[in-house]
Amino acid sequence: MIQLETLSVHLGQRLVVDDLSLTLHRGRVTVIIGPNGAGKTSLLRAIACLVQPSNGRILLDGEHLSDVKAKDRARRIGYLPQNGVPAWAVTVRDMVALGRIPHIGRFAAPTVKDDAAVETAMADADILHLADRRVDSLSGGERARVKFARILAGESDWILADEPLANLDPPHQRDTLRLLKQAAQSGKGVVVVLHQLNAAARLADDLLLLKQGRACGFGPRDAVLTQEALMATFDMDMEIVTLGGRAAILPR
Amino acid sequence: MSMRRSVLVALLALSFLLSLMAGKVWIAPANWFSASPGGWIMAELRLPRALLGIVVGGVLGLSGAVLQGYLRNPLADPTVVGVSSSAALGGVIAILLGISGLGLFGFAMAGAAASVLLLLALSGREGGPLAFILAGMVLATLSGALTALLISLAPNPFATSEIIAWLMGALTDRTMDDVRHAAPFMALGALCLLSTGRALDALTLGEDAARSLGINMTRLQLQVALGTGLAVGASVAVTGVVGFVGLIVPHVMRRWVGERPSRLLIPSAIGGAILTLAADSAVRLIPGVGEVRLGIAMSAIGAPFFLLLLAKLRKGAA
Repeated sequence: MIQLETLSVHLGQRLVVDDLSLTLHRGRVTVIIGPNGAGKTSLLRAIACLVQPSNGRILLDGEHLSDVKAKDRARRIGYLPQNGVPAWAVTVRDMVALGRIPHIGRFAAPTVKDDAAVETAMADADILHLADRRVDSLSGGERARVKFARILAGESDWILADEPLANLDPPHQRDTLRLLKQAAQSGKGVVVVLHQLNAAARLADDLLLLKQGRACGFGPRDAVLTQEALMATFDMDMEIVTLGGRAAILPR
Repeated sequence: MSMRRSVLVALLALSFLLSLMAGKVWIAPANWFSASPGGWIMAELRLPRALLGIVVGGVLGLSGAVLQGYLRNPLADPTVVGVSSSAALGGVIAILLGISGLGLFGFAMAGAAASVLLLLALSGREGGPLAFILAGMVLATLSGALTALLISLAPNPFATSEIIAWLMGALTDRTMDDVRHAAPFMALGALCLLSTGRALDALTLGEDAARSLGINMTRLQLQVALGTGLAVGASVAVTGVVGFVGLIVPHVMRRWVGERPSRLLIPSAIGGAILTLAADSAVRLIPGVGEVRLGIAMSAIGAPFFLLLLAKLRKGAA
């Protein structure tokens, strides 16, 4: 369980998350949507402890997040940043193995357990056949799966993903959504920032509508996903229609 | 992998032997331990020179690999973070004051220490790699300007030429004392640098990802600054500025052992030692009255090396 209590975050002088209080649960996918500059990434970075709140606090299973040791936190919260262009053309296996760093002692070598976790993560993300390829030789979709496998290898309780669908074609978007859903079904807490409203509507168990750092709505998807709430969040005309039993969001 | 490492170690052994034998006087192994002039040259000149070649080249290659990993930039090397030029400034001040030997070494180390403190203060606790390199540029530029100023103010042409010769970097006429002064600092620095491997790996994915993996960026910055200061500072203090080793060697090693930063560290140290020993043997063999300075030779190697990289890049792009 992650609790945000009257959380505010400043980016320099600018207030980007404004007095937010809510509780995130494991076993559920929480999707954050909102216009550009709404504070989605800042909120995610605050939960990942990459930026310090200027006010309020974040509790991880009842414990102050800032009091949790960095390594322990890294074992519990996996963070998938937005622009993860790797600096070096390492192999896929080496890249996925980075996810094990929080589990390996400072002067110890990776154990059999670490190797097994890497193999399992690669199998789950369906990239075993790429294991010895260099990451610079992969397509965008393959690279996205490798980054996701890196998170899986960490075996964290939480996965925070910032726009994991960016630059992916529809089939790879579908695959990534499936992986996120599976992670939640296996008991992890999954928090995702998305720009694709229809994907958000399909993926979310819980939805957070964010506008100018404030919550325009938070709760189970069907309760939050209304035409009025969406229009208020994005300042734009939208229509929610039901097609074949699924909600589709159409801009007008 | 282990085969590649064996090849590197074998090359290192070969270049060490070459460095002991080569010069205006060739000394065959049979005469190394004799009471002949050859034995004297070996013990007093060649051995300290070859040992310095190993440790200086080693720390330059190692620090180059660490800095490139830390700054996520294959064009970084010890000269861009200001440590070399600050240590050089310390050495120049010592020469102007007529101080040599251990005193000069101390001045150069003081210059390196000052640069590390300034580097950390300027880049700040939360600054990260970008602030680090900007602070390094400030220091490199400033100490370069001060060095040039001191040269222009030198009291006589002899002092000027002595300073310039020292700045160019060379392993000529070094003694076991130089090895003894520098080695402890270099060893300590190398330990700092070698302990950064896992954090550098994590940085492959960027700073946010590294921090989310539990990497302490403040500590990493301290390790990089301290390690470079101790190791490169000591190397400048005994040889002057030898450039390009830290820049070229990690490039070559990346092709040889792959791009993973932690896997690059030890091969880069060995590669740096090989390149320095080989270049230093070569400068002794170039015919002429004097000797080409090692620093100049290294720059002469650097230019065609980068031309080659450029040619490859353009060929790949076409």
